[in-house]
This record gives sequence, structure tokens and C-alpha cells, in this order.
Amino acid sequence: MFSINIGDENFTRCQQSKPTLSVCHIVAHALVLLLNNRPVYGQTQQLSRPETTETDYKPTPNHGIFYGSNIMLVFLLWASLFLSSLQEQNGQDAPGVLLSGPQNVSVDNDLKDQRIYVTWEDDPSSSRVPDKLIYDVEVLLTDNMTEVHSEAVDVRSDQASRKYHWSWTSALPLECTSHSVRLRSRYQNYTSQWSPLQTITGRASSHPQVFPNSSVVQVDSNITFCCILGPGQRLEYMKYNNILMNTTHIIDQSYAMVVHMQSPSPPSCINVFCNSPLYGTCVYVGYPPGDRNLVCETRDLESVRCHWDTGRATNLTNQRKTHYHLNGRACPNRTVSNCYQTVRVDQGERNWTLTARNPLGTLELRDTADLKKRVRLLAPTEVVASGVNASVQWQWERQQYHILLMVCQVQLNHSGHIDMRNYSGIGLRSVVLHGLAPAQTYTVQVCCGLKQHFWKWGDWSKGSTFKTKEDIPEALDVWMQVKANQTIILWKPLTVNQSHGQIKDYEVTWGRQKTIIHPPQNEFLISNRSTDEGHRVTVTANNSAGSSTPSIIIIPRLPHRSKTSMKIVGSDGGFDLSWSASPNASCGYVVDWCPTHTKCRLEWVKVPAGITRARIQSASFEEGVRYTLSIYACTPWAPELWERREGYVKECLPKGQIQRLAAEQHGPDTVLISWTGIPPENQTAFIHGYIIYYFDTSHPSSLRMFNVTTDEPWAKNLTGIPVSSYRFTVKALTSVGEGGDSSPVFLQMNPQTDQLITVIIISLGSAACLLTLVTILCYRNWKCVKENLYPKIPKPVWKEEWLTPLEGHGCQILYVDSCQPSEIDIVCNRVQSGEAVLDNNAGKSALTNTNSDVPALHGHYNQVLSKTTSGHFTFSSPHAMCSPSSQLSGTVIQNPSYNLEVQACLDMGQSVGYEPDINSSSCPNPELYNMSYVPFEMDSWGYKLQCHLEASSPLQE
Amino acid sequence: MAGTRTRRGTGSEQSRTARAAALAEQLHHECTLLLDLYRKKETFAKELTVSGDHLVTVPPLSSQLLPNDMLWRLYSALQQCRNLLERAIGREEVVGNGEDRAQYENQKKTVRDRLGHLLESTRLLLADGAGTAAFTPEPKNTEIDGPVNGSPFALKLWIYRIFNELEHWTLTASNTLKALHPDGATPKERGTSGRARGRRTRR
Repeated sequence: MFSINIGDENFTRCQQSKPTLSVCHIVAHALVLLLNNRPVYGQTQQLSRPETTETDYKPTPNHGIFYGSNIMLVFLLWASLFLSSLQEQNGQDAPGVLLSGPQNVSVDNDLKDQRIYVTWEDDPSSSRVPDKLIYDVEVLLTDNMTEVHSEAVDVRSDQASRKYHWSWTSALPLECTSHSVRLRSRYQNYTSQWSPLQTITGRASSHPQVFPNSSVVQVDSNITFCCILGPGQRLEYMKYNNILMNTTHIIDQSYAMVVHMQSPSPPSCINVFCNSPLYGTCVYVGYPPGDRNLVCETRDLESVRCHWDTGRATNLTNQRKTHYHLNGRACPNRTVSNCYQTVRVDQGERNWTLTARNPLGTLELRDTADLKKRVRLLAPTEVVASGVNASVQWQWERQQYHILLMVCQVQLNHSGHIDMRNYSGIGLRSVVLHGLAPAQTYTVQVCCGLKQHFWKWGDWSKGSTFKTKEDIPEALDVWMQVKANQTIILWKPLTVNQSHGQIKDYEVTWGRQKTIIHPPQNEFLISNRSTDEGHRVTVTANNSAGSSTPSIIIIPRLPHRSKTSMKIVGSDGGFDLSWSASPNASCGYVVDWCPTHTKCRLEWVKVPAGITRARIQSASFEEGVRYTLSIYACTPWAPELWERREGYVKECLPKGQIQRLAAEQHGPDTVLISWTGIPPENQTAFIHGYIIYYFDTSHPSSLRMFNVTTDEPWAKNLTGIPVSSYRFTVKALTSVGEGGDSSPVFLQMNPQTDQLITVIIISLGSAACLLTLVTILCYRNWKCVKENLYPKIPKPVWKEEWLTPLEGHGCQILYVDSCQPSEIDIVCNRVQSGEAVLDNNAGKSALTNTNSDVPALHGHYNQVLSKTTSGHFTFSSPHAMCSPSSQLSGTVIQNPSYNLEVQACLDMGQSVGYEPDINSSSCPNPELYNMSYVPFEMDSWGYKLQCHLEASSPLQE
Repeated sequence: MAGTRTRRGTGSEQSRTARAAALAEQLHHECTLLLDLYRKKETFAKELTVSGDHLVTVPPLSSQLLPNDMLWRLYSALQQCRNLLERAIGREEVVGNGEDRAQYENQKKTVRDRLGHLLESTRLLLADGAGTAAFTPEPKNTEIDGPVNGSPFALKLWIYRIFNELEHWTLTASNTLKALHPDGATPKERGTSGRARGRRTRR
């Protein structure tokens, strides 16, 4: 009966031989454990890693480890015998277990979900089991009986005799190969035999097929694809999204690859190919539903409207998109983020459950609410607003609203300005609006909510636009602009908020005269100010509702005294103006302004009394334009000009150009620079001075500058400038920098000597001209001149012998009868050869000029005036001169011209330094005097005289 | 076939033939573009070729045929193409958005409209007009209705095959109509040619 043989068959037989737990069971079971070493409780078998190269797909084998030591066996056998004896002694208390195993085992599958469903009925013997019964389930690959999953399923005793279900999802698509399932029951250490194998047959194909087919998987998950080849076919490749993947051989013609889904698939699924693009499948990759924040409410007190946030996009479309159910009822097919269902709202607080489901998962959202406290009113309809009494009416589409105590918001939109007002009441359908501005257009919208159990504001109604009634205009702001004998009455046009309607006209009254001015004109010229009444001017504005309060201004009887303008600097596009308080300013001040140099219409601002500062801002302000700001004191009478300012809102670099720059040399090292400044109307900033830039054109780097203040005239002498060529420019200096550059001028300085020469040449020229003029005059009036200056002298009478020339000499020496130390005259006669020698001793006659002014020359007689070969006269020293004597023998010579010639000769002797000692009676120091005269022409006498005076030594004689 | 009239027709017929040839050539260009867009959309490789039974079944176009018979067979093939295109449009999932999808959808519409015009032009060239029924596909060919298992991959391939048929038959139409035109060329010679498709043997 008991067999030591190990094997299922013997084990089964043993079980069947005794309906109670026996030693046979224990021993057999222990031997099975030891020899087969197969685990009773296995774990889910995982596929090997896909990245590995193609290998046989084999689950991890359970290698038997034989512990079959005899000691163990003996111990077990003895233990079983001991237990057996105990059982036999206490047989009535033992449970009497005889496990027959699960009954009616059936296996089903869902290829799409790759899920295996197992159903079985309870082991009939379980009724005798006091505790829980355990079923062991094993999933095997049929072809090689490799276990891929094993699991122990607990069944509680109170669930006995019932049908059990178990399911398991396979990582490998079930089409890839056949799977088998078997079960057995177990109680404590007793097990039943395995149920017969239930097999799910894998797919076979004549051509490559890829599984799973059209699956939907979650991002960041792994999915196993298998390719089943036809008989005799070989695997060439498996591709995922056109990427070649590593594969694993499962069994026979089945191969697998595992892919990690990293990102959602495009709307069109991702292709998986096996061997050819014609064989494959495609996979959708996305996310399970991610909806959240379910909120349910009612709008019409007849239905519930739940809305939620969809959360992360699932990336699944069409049949795979998320479907919603609210409290078990399907929401409309196109539901995305809200679901509407008709319900009774008076059921108090209840749960609202939204189920979101897509192929990757199911999500449930819950909200608990009493819909009566979750009322969000619909928008009011037919909103009508009336401008006559400024009332707003509207309607409710739902009759149920008429009994609700509600609070409503009325939103008034006036030119972009929003005004919110709240009103409350039961079934509120109209309100009256107060405080609206006249003649204004408003747009009104209404939304309401429940005052009690306020949940949310309802929807806004559509806007309704209306216009309020007109009212009389506000008083005009009037000012004046005085120009010579004319005064312009100015007033500011009223804004829409001030006019309270459309202004029809303005009425100007002064004295007994009245004039109507029509918009858009807003000024009036008064030219005659002679009458007293004319100084008070009243202006009113009229619209359909009436006239505004009159605005009065009093024109001053006399022109305002001119005031000195002080400079002011603008900031941020305006002027921060402050002034001293005026004792007369009983009603404040008026500040007006205008561009200083251009015509304009005055702008002004009124400052209340007691305030002496104002921020002057105007849209018409321009940068770089000088403005004159006048501050008037407002008095009970005419306004008084109090102070005046001039300034720029923002100073800019001068745009105008400095004109007429000129440079002129004055003196050897002085240059006068002159220019004309920038015209005031072209000045874009206050000019603090000018800067003269100049440099030597031969050394451009030698730039120098010279500052000129505005106090100085627009001309400047630059001194100490060396003679050279220069380039000059002038720039205006302002607080924002330099500008208004003049055009450059160049100056070539001349040295002073040149000027001196010029002066000399001019002087000489002038003298020559004068001399020429005098000569011409003298020539023309020669007779007169001659008569006046040189009266006619009778011709001297000459004796022939006196005039006979000496032999061998062309010159006669006049001898004086008495050789007394006297002056002698030498007469040089022109001889044919052009030379003559005068010898004092050669002639007996002497030529004496009694009237001669020639100083007496003391000398010796008989001195020879020898003729040199060169034709020069040679005087032998001592002096070969004859003193004039009144006792001359012969005729007295009275022709002064002769004296003149001698005189000339003597003058020449003096000019060369010969100065005879006339006071000495003795001869002078026998010193040799050589006097050499270069002959020159004496135009007046018509010959050349060339004298050579030699002081000969007495030894020479 | 009833058409026994020679194709040496009148000038207006020649003009109609030339216009139909030009239309076929233009349509072939559009079909090629549609096929490219579909390949891009479904990430099919350009070298992907389809095999198996052809979706369009007409007797082969032989040069021995009379022109009218040739036109009849061509007309029948184009009509089957239009039916297949309509089925494809009806079954294809409209998914995605953006510029690519819009371009693809527009191209499908263009091809459909232009194919209708080519069919009408071809019908007018037939000797007996629209009075004779065209060839119809084999009733046993279940592929013309598309995959029945709802597999998106099979549907993709089926649509791809339809677009391939379109591309092939519009090229055939262009060449045939050009051959029928006395000048042998369309008024507007485009210079484009269809892809080399030596794999097919039309029944």
C-alpha cells in the first residue's frame, strides 16, 4: 500500500487509498520535495531581458538539489510513523482531511487584455477543513511545461462550496504560444493532486503575425511583442517605430521583444513590423484618466451639472478616449469636462460620483452636495435700462427663481470705468440706479446669486446700453490773453463730464454788448477797451438743459508791467513751479504759459489761494522749446502779473547752427574770432557760453579750446597763437552739452616782416610817385623855377689864351698870382680822351670863386696833380689846392656852377674820410691818403667824374 | 465591348482626349503627393511595397485592344479606384491636428474631386457614353471592404494599398490617354513621370 517510489501516480494512489491524512502523504510529499526540488509556491515568471540577443526563451529552471541524505529520510519516516500512531490514538478529533482537489476547473482568456481566467468549484473535502483552504495555481508554457506563474489562493472556510474565480495577466501575449493552467488544493501540509491541464492554444500562421494586436499601453510601461512566423520561416527583424529591436526566441516559430514606452504615441498608432512592413501591428501609448476636482451644482433647480478638470491629456483618441459616467449613467459622448443630468434637487445632501474610464484605467471622482445649496443662477434675460429714471429691468427664464431670495450685482460701465452695485430681494427683476452723470452713456449688466446659501455668482446677462438725461453745463474756466490793444477772452472747452450734454453755444457779455459764439470756437476777441464796462467780461455755456453759471473775468485797465523772467528747469515733461506769495492774491493764482518765441494760444491753470506752487503739465509741451510762464495774482479786480519764468521742459542740444564764423589775424600772434549766435527762436536750451575750438591744420592733434561766456561779445581775440594755418570752430555750451557747431573756418597766418616789407614798398612807391610828380611839375615850369631859383647870369667872357689847352694836358691849373695859402679851385675839363689832369702849376691863371662857400683849404702851392694811367686824379700831398684869392690876376670868375663842381669833388673827398686840417698852417702829417672815387654819372652835368685821391708821400716827389 | 469606332475622331474629340490626358497627368501628380503624405503620416518607409491580390480588378490593358475597349477598361479601373477611395475616407480615423493633418486631408479631397473629373472626362470619350456598365471587381474579393477585424494596422495597410492603386491607375490613365491622342503628348507636357512599378502585373 505504501510505496516508496516517487511519482505523481504513486502519490495519487496513496491519497486514494486512505481518506485521511496519512503517513503515506507526508512521506511521499517529503520525498517529492527533496528529490524533485520543485517549489510548491512559485513566483510569477518574468521574461528574460529583451535587450539580450536572441536566445531560447526559458523560464528560470528549478534545479533540483538533492538533499537525500539518509539521515533526513530516516527522520521523516520516523516522524511519520510517530504521527501515524498519534492519529490512530486520537482519530475522532482529527479533521479527517482527504483533499480531492478543485472541481470543474475551467479556463478562459481575454486575448486583448492578455488575461487568463480560471474558474473552479470547491474541493468537496473542504467542508471538513476547519481553517482556510489554499489553492495552488500554476500557469505553464504548454510546449515545454515551463512554469511562468504560480500563486497560492486563500479560500476562507465560510466560502466553502462556492465557485471561485481567479485571473492573471500575462506579460506575453497569449497568442504567442500555448499556455496551460492547473490547480490543486492544500490544507496545512496536505495537498491534493493537480487538476488536469487546461490549455489555451497559441496562434499559428502561414505568414508573420505580430501580437498583441492594436494594444493600448501606458506611457513608461514595458510591453512584450511577439512575432509568430509561418512554418519554415526565419526571423529577419522586428522593428518598433522603424527602429530595429533585439528579440528573444520563445519557442518554435515564436519570437518576442520587449519595448519600453517612453512617450505618448501620435494620434496615429506606432507601427511594429516583423520581417516586413506588411506584417505587423500598431500600438497606442497614452495615459489613464487624470481628471480631478469634481464639483456638482444646479443651474435651473431641475438638473445637476457636474464639472471637473480634465488634468493630463491621455493622448488617446476616438474609441480609446475617456468615457464618463455620472452616478452610473453615461454622460453624453462628447463629454469633456462637464456632465449634465436631470435630477430632483430636493433630495438633500447626496454623493455624486463620476467615473472616467479609458483602456488604460478607470478613475472615480466624488462630490457630496445638497443641490439646493449649490444653486448658480442663470443669466438674467431681456435686460432693459432706461435713461429717464435710470432704472434697469430684467427677466428670469426659470419660474423657480421668482421665489428665491437673491442678491444681484449691477455693473455699470461708463467709458471703461466700472461701477458695481449690489441689490437684493426675492425674485429680483428691477433696480433703480442713482448718482448717474447726466448725458452719459452707460452699459449695464446683471448677475445674481442666492442670498441664503450663497454658492456662486450666476452668469452675467448681456449688456444693455442707455444714456442719461442732459443737465446744465458746469461753469467755464475763463482766462484772457492780452495782445497790444486787443484782449482775447479764452475758455476751456467743457469735457463730456462737464458739459452734461451737447453744448449749443457760448454767450459772451461785456458792458452792454452780448455775443453768441458757437462751438468749436472757444475764444472771443475784444479790441475796444476804452469804456469802463468793457473791462468786465462774462461767459456762459448753453445746452438743451440751460445755461451754465456765468464765468467772469476782469480785463486790467492798463497793460501789465513787464517782469524780469527767471530761468526755470523742467522735469518729467512739465514744470514744478513755485513762487512767492502775493498779498493781493485773495482768490488764488493763475499760471499761464506759452512758447516764448512762437505765437500760441495760452494755456492756463488756476491755483487755489494760499498755495504758491503748482505742477505745470501740458500735452502740448515740447522738448527743446522755451516757454514763458506767467503767474498772476487773482484779485477782486483784474488779475495782476506777479512773477514770470522762462524755461524748457527739457533742454536739448542746440539744433541751430552758429552763423558767420570768421577769423582774422590781428598782429603777429593774435587772431580775432567773431560769430553770430544761435537765434533765440532756434535755441533749444539755455546757452551758458561758447567754446572756440582750433587746431593747427598741420598738427590736427593739437586741438585747443577757449571758453567764452555769454557776457562777452560774440567776438574774441585769441593771442599767443604762433604763425601757422588754423581751423576754427565754435560751439554753444548748454547744460546738456555742446552743440550748434559752426561751420569751420581756416586761417593762414602771415609773419609780421612781410607786412613791414609791404609797408616799405608802399612807402617807397608813394615817395617815387611824389618825386616823379614834382619832377614833372618842375620840368613843365622849369623856366619859372629857373628864374626864381637861378636868375640868369651873364655869360663870362673868356680870353682865348686862357682857354687854350696845355700841351699834353687836358687840364689847366690856374695859378694864383700870389701864392698865398688860399683855396684853389680845380677845374676839370673834358678832354677828348675823357680825362683831364689839373695842375696847379701848369697855368698862370687861377680860377677863383670869390663867392665860394667852400671852406678854405690850406695847402701848398706847386703841388702836382698828376695823371695816373688809369685816368684817376692823383693829388700829391700836401694839399694841392689853391686858396681863393680876391687878388686874382685876370678875370674874376663868377659862375657858381663851377664852384659846385669843386664842391662836389670836395664833398666826395669828405665822404671818404679825408678831412683836411684847415686850421693848421703846416702840412699835415705826411700820411698817405688814398682817395679812390668810382666814377659815376652826374646827370646834371653830363659826364662822369672819377677821382682818385692819393696822399703821396713827400718821398715820392 | 461595344466600341468599334476608330479613334480618329473629330478635332473636338482630340481636344477632349488631350484635356483628359492632361487631367490624368495632373491627378497622377496629386496621387503621388497623397501617397507621400500618407507615408509620412503613418511612418511607412518609402520602399514599402504592397503585395497580394489587387484591389482593382480589370482585364489587362493591351496595345492590341481597340481604343474604345482600352478606354472602357481604364474607365472601369478608375471607377473602382473612386469607390475604394470613398471607402478609405469613410473608414480612416480622423485623428490629430495641425498643419500636416490639414495638408493631408486637403490632398485627399483634391484627389477625390479630380478623380471625379477624370472619370467624367473619360466617360465622355467612350463611344457609347455612360450607357454601358463598367467592369466591377470580383465579388469574392473581400479586401475591397477593408479589414474586418478592426485592426488599425491592417486598416493602415489597406488604405496604403488603395492609394497605391490610385497612383498606378492615374499613371496608366495618363499614358493611355496620351497614346490615344494623335500628337502623343498632352498640350501641357509636365515632364513628370510615375515611379517605376515593375512589381505589378495587372489582370
